[in-house]
Amino acid sequence: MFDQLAIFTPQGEVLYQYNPSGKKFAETQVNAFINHLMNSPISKKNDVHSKFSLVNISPTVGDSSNSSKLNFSSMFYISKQPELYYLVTFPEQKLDLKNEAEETLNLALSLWDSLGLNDSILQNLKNRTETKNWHNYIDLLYGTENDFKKFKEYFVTKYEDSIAVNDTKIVESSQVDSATDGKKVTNTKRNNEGNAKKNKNGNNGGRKWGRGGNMEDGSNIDASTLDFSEHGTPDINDEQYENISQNKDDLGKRTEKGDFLVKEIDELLASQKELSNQKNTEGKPKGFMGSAYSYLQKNVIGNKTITKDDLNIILEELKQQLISKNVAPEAADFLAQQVSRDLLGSKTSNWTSVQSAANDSLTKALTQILTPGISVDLLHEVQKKTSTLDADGKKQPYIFSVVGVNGVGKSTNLSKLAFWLLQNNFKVLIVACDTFRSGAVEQLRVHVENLAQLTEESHVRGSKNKRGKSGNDSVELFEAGYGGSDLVTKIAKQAIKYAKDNSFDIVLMDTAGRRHNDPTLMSPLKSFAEQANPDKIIMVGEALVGTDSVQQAKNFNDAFGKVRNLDFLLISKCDTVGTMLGSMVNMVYATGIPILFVGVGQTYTDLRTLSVKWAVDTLMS
Amino acid sequence: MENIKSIYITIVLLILSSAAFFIFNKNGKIAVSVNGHSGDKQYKNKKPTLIIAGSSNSGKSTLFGLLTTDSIKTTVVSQVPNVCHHFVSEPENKAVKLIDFPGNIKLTYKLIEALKSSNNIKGIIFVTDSTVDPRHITQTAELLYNILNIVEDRDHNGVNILIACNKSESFIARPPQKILNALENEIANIIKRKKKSLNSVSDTQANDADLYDEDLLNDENPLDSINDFKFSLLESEITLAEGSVTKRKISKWQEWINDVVNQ
Repeated sequence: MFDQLAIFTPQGEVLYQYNPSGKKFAETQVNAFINHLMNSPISKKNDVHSKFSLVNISPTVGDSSNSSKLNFSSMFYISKQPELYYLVTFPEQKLDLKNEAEETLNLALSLWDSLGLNDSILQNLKNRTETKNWHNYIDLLYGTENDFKKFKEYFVTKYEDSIAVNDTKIVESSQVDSATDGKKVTNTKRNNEGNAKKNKNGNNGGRKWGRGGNMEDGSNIDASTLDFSEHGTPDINDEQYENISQNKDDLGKRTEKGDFLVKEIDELLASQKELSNQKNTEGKPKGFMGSAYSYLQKNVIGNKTITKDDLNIILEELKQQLISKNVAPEAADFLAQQVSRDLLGSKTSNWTSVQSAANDSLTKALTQILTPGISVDLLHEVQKKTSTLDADGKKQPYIFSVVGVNGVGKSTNLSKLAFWLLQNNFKVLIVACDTFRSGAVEQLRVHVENLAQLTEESHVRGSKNKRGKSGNDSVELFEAGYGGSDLVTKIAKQAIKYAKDNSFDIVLMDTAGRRHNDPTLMSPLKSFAEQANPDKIIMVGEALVGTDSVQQAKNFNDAFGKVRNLDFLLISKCDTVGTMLGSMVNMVYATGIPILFVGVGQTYTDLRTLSVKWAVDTLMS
Repeated sequence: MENIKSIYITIVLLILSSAAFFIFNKNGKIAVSVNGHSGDKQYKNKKPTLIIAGSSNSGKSTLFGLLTTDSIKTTVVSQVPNVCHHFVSEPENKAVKLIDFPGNIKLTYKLIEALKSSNNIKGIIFVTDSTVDPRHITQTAELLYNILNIVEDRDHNGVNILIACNKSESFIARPPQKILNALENEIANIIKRKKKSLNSVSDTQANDADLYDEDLLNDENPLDSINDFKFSLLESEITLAEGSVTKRKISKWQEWINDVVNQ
């Protein structure tokens, strides 16, 4: 059985909810689904044949609001006019549950359609004055009480009917299995029936709760089976049989009524199908005057209902514009989809052309995709962690690690980050975890010398601090030479211990650059993340890269396994691309992970936080 | 000659526009752009507006439902604002536009834009969840900080803000005063942190001025010039009241609404 079905509006109003096991409606599940949908824009269709999308929700690491473990699959459908979300959630991704979810969604959708609920809602959305309540507000479901009641009744009946059909199938198959012994068959049959009836009975208030909270048995089956002292075995059988036959009559009636209802529903659904077929065949004849007027509406007057034809060319233009700004075709397609979803069937304002409406909508879509879904107050988080002591009473350092493809500027931006943290009076330990590329450690040493000089003018380059390491008291290099991937995790662990012992606030780990499509290079990342367990894993991506950025971000995000994700993106070399900021969109699109910083130059001060407005304006210019 | 040409063009335009209006009136679609779908223009107005804001899961949409339909609705995370165009809280009150904005951080930009573009904000109902530990109030404080930064600027000169401490029926609900103090402290901390943060990237790459130029920061955010933040230092009038939407105990909030809409 699936967990629950919910039909809700984008405004957040739940119109209908159903829970087959009769539990309380779990909003947290639906909320987790919506948040997931908002944060990771891609709703990949796993199954091309299905018109429903499927997403698996797993608890995200680092999401503090996620106190309860949520792990479930959800299948959903979004209707356009009016915009409604039909969502079915179920525990795991099993094939039979997937089918059930699909059937349930289909049922809910077709029932919803055939009862004309959509039309009523659309009417209500049109703001007819006569339907307003005294607050001047129109309830979405105003005037649909009867239809809505029917929907509830029909849905539950039909769903339970389908479940019952499945159950009998199972029972029948078990009977076939044991068909060798005639007597046994009847026995098992009777038993099966008995069990089935018992279950049914139990659901239907077989137990009553007395006034004092004592349980009274409504049906005497349980009592009689337990009461061995007074009755002989045959008596029990008789009584049981009586009960069964009684129940059978009951059930017969019920199914008759249920069948009747189901028939009614089926007829309703069938008529709806015909109707929709008719609708599809209807064409719209248009004279010259009509087309001339629609042209005016489209380009000058506004107040036009936007159709697919209006959008096609415009969307193509927008896509081209985006692609010319280095946005990957995949991401551009997605954005165009967002725009058409936003605009199809809606009306342009007066004196607004479809073109400008599309531009506005694209701006909105870009803003939404680039805006981080979580609060990004790094200083606050650093302060919070360093102010708490661990079990040994030592200060806990805040650990960053940067990853990325070769040559994107990991070390450079790491140093910029270090400079900013030093300005905020944190004690920073820079760890050379790149044990692979020759000169990597030396490069970091130069950075540390520079930073030491910037923080303390009297610092002599090349001199050792009081602990005998490169750097000075506030910034220091932790190094252990070159070697294989085992060495990397070893260095990371040692460095964290060293930082704790010497009360550093921040540990910055530089890693080796790696090609994102080489599994042998990517796989060590997982164990590195597990062993070092950085508070923030930052991926550095360069603005120059173009279409490949989608795959880069995806692969790096996946490299850390299921339980760990990248935390932030840092987009480097933004000063070199002018207005072609497409890579930013690509990376966020591919992973749903926010951009925190952008690198805009060669000096230590050339690190900025991302301004979404700036990025969107640049992309739209 | 130039003059005559331009006069011709004006006349043609006039005829066109009046024709357009005639057609609209005939169709019964009188020029109202309330349902217009182009961007967030629908909020750019001088209409008296009442705004419901607050962080996610604090009970905004349920409050909106209660105010507009007098019933408690089951709600989930909102993805678009709830709007009631001519909301009347009590029969004798003036109508205002009531908007409930989503609390998700990704959608905060909608609220910010609406605040910036509206210059007749009657009040903001800032809904907070009383059951949240004051130590984890940072996100709520940051949202309030962002709101205050807009309403405290030259255009707005402060608005009425109700800090509505929702879910007061819960046994772990904090007293309103404690929440207010926590918010005050946290905003003070945020201001301190903002000063230390990196500048955001701007359109002119030439903006290589000193990274820690305080004057530049102060110009953007009026709140950042306050050294020791207190709500009493603001132009906005902050009101504090507890209540519970699900238990229909919102009389204090309703009183406040009645006050501000009739001002």
